[in-house]
Amino acid sequence: MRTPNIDLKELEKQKKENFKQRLEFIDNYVKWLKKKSNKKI
Amino acid sequence: MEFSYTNEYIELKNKELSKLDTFVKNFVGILEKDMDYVIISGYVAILFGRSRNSEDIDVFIKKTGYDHFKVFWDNINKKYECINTKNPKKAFEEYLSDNIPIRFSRKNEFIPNFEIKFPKSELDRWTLDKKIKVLVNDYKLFISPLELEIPYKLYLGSDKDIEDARFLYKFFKDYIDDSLLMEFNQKLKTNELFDRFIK
Repeated sequence: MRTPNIDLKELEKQKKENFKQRLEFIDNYVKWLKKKSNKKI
Repeated sequence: MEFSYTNEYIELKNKELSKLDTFVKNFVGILEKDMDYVIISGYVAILFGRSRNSEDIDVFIKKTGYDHFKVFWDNINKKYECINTKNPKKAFEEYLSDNIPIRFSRKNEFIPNFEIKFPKSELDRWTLDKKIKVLVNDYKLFISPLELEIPYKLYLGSDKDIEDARFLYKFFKDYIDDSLLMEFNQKLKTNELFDRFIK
């Protein structure tokens, strides 16, 4: 089976980008949680 | 849960579905009507019984044009909502096409969610092209090839990822294509991690 070329520099960049997006997701989740709990008060 | 492995598919019978499994089953039931997809990363280990939860399910969908994407958007939005934006044009142009994933959750929920992205690299496209069919009770899923998933998890390298890799290897070691696995270990430079943590 022919396997794909893997550009490790590009993959490392992608890994960092994914982590950055993950952190942004957590920020947005916290915002959503706060908004939701405020509504219930 | 009964497990069988063939060259064509993996089958799980009598699997007791978790809430996350049911979420995946229902979402994929809509996704598969419109999109060629593959589930990658954490949920692959969870599907086969790894005992941990996940906030998101990572998926590649085959790159497509806006009109096709809009058909999927309209169908999926009947039961789910996009967390990033309510605007399909923006979701397509400013997120997906710019390699930023879009996330879908059940309406008025945030977690769990499907994180959907277009394949970006040759590796991503290979994953989609060589996806593995898994028959689970009365439904099917497509997951990334295990010979890539295990080295890739090692490459990511967190404790959780290494544990996922070990779980998958121990579960599938009698069925895995060892030469393909080692080729990916070579390419991702994960041989040492493999020898240290997985074997």
